[in-house]
Amino acid sequence: MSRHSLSLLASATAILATTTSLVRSEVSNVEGVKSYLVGTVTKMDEAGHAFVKDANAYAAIIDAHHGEYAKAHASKQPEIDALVKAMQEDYKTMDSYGYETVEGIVGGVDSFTHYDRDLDAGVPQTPGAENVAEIVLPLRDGGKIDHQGCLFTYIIEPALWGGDKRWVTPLDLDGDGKIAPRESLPKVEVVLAAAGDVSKRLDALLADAKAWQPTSADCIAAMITMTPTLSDYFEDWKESRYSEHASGRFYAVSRVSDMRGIMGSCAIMYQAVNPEVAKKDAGLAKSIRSGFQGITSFLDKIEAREKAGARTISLAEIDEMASQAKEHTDKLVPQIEQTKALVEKN
Amino acid sequence: MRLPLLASLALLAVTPVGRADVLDGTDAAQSALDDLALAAVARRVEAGQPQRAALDAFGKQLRSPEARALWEKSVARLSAATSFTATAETLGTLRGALQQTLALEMLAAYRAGDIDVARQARAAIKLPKHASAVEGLLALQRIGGAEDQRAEVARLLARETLVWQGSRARERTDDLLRLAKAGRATPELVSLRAAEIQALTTFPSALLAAAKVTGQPATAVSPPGVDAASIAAWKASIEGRLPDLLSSDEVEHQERLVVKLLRLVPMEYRNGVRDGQIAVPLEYREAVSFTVQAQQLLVEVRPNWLKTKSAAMAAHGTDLEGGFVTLEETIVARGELASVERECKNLSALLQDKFGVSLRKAGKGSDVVQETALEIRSLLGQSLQSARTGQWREANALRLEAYTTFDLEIESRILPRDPDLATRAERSFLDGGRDGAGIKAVLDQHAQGAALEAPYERTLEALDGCVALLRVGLSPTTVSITAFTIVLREGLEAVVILAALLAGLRGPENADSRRQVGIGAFAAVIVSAITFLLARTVISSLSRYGETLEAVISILAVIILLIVTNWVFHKYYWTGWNTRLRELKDKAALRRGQRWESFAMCGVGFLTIYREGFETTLFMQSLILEGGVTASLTGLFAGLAVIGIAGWAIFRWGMKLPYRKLLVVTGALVVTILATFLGSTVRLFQTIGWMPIHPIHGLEIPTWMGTWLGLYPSWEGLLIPFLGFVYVGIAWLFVRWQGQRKQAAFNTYLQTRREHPQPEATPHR
Repeated sequence: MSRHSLSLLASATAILATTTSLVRSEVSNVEGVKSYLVGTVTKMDEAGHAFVKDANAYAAIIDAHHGEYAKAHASKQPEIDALVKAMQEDYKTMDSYGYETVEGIVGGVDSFTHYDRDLDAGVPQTPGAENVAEIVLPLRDGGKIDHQGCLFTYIIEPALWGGDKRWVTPLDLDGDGKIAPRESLPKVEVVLAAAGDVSKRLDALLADAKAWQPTSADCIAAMITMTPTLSDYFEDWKESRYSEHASGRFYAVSRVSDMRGIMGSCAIMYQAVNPEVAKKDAGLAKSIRSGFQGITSFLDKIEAREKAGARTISLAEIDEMASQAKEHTDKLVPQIEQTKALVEKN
Repeated sequence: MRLPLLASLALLAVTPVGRADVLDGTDAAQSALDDLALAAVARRVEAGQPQRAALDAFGKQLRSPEARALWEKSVARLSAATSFTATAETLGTLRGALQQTLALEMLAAYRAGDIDVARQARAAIKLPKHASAVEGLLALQRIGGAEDQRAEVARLLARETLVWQGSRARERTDDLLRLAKAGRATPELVSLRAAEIQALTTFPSALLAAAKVTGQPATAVSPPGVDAASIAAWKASIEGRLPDLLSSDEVEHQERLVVKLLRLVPMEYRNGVRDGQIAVPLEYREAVSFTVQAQQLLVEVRPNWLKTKSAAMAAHGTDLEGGFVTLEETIVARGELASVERECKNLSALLQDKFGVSLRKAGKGSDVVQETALEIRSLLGQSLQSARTGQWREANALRLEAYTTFDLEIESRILPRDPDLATRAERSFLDGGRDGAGIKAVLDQHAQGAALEAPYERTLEALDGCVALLRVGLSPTTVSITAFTIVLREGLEAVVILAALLAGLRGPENADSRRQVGIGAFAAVIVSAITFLLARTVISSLSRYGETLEAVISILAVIILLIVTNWVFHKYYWTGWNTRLRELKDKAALRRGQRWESFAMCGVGFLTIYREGFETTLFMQSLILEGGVTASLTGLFAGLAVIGIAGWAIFRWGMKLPYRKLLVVTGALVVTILATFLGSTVRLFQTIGWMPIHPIHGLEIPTWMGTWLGLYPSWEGLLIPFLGFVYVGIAWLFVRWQGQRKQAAFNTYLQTRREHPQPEATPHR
């Protein structure tokens, strides 16, 4: 987790005690879930438009140097560095602090799932691949990025952090005479195409979010879809602790942040149906709330241990922590299925 | 951006949850165990005082002596542990014991009638990822407090817990084996997990007794080493400890269900997913749910297979599990239909060729409920598919087939357990209810999209609720009460109307009519008895036509009742006249009227009894299969005795009433019954698709009014009985007008006779 998000976390926690009643009215029903979704996607959409603007400004500098990245960097380093940094921040606002915090809703509600596939979860087209992202980006140089995976994970993030050589121009940015593995500038045609496309998709997602008429059934179905994915995330986290570079992706922020985002949006959806559940089975309602709290505390614990340094965590501890986390989420899934039975069958 | 999200998490944390209870105590104990376990596997010395306090505090909260004894015995071992490995082992034992303790606490609270505490303890128990936990939830929700069902609900809750613990033990064992294979199993981790798994599979005798599981208690198994081979061998011993919860019939039934589910999964998936996208959410969810359900069934069957199909399990058990994992992953990732079809085909072949699973149908009573529900789901899926392609007639036919299957096999069983659920489920096939239109209604309206799918979803939800409740067996008392209620409900109106009619037919001049009614009623009893005897053979094969037959009988009954209504009016009108008039009636017309009357009397006797007798025999058949002959017949005869007494009392009371007053009462009863018959006949016509259904949105009519008065909230259901009243009014006016004409003619005749006396002749009409 970045310093930026840590500070946000700290300040948010401090404000919580005084804003509880406000938030209670915000997500005490399914309309609260919609408000939260629309609010978050609005900010993502704004970041999408900012990304287009920053990408155009970046393209203008590179174009002014006839596409020669080294020359452009040499003559306009502060401007280029600032624009790359700005595009990275746009990305974080769109994805890490934006999409990831509503992924539970977008990925779980049937009418939104294609956004999840194309923005965050879809994979490149390969023989036998499943859940392939429907992303085809025509490039201004006449080429195209054809079914190479979803926008956030496979195109924008690797382009901005140098994770995929096809989307970047390797360059000695720090002038140490060597080009480190990810030392590069994003290719203009890639960021322009990706920015234009992601911005349009976020416009559409925002319009759909505003038109959404949420129901308890939508929220429960979304929780049932998304809560189990936390187990996979913990597995990812465990494996990434064994081999930090194993996955080759997820550079922007830690996997813990993603887990917190998904869990948070599921918790918001649960909060909307909690009164209905509590009326029929107070024990179950309390246990689910406690389950969400348990995962949060657990993530805090992991985060604290990560912050203290990975070396202080033994491999056996990692296995035990991942196992405990998995048990927390495994229990929540059938419990949420029970809420479905309570809310819909009674 | 993240404030609302974080605030939401915090709100969950600060939402008032009341005083400390089993859940709080469990959370604290669980958290303490997790902290201590982390320290033990990290070989870190932990003072552990707060954690120990949390464990002790949990023990003090327990109300069940058995639960407390188990917990305190396990906690006491903690002090004796002197190494990290020994501590890890004790902690593992405590983790497993915590789950067994909660199960005992749940059962004790439930038996003591403290449903809230039972729910809390149940909610505190850890669940495996694919746990099926809805049945116990609904049993507690709907029949939790019912005294006569308590043993059966306790059995369900105990069995459910045994399945969860067994599944978790298997999951934990697989996980431990994976760790060992990856070379990451340390002595502390192995001790921790192995002890937990062993404690999870050491079921307290009270839990096994509540689940009605027989057999020897599991013997202790020596802990494994850290190598994969040792853990693999240990895994086999642990699996052998899991109790076999199923009878051989149940095993066969579950096996068959798995194969059926595997047939349905590709069908649902084909309809639900197109080009990697969810095209029809309902169908997609069914594909997921069927896959998970099949896995769950295999988990339950597994302990039996380890004994009876050990060779197949050893050779193909891993392939089977792996195949299901691949299938589930493919479906969740919305992969190619061909992959899903291939996996299902391979798994079916594996089950049939290597495990000897047969699709041959067997089993009785409640055993067939799940299979029937599956058939209904499949029929509804096909109906929805037909509706989506505009084949409305086909869609309705499939809906009717699904409904008649539901009516015969499930609704009759669910009625004694939860009449409201039964009615709601039934209505979801037809006009719908408070939560929206029913399937028949949307098919009549040729609805599209979400409006079309919603009632199918609601029906499937209601069906799930029914199946979940049917997992709870019926006590003999409930069976008897149900049989009694059925007989009372079905028989009372027939007996009341017959008794009133017989009282109305007093006097020697009506002896023939009384005899005709009696002959008709007796014949109906005989035919009902024959129907009962044939019900499981001839009639069951005609079950899909049950509603149609009932509709035909009902329409005949309505015709007969119309005739009877007319007869009562004439009788009433003539009774007020002097006997002279009756003597001077047209003799020929009277004879014709008597013949018609005799037929009507015989018909009314037969149809009023048989109309109810037909339905009663079908209900009783289901009940006998469910709850046994003795309990069902006890209720049946008690019901017959009560309606017999009621009939006799009405007859006696009627005999004491002045004749005209009695005819008013009889007329009112006949008209009421006529309206009820009309209402329920309209309902039947709508059910079998002979009449459209136009629900009256927002109008709620209590269930009892439907059952007893035939009132259902559709325009047809209310207007047609009303038209019956209109007919009765017109008929009354007509009889009166006709009578007045006759009276006028007669008066004229008398006047003429007085003025011009002459020999007696036949009067004018």
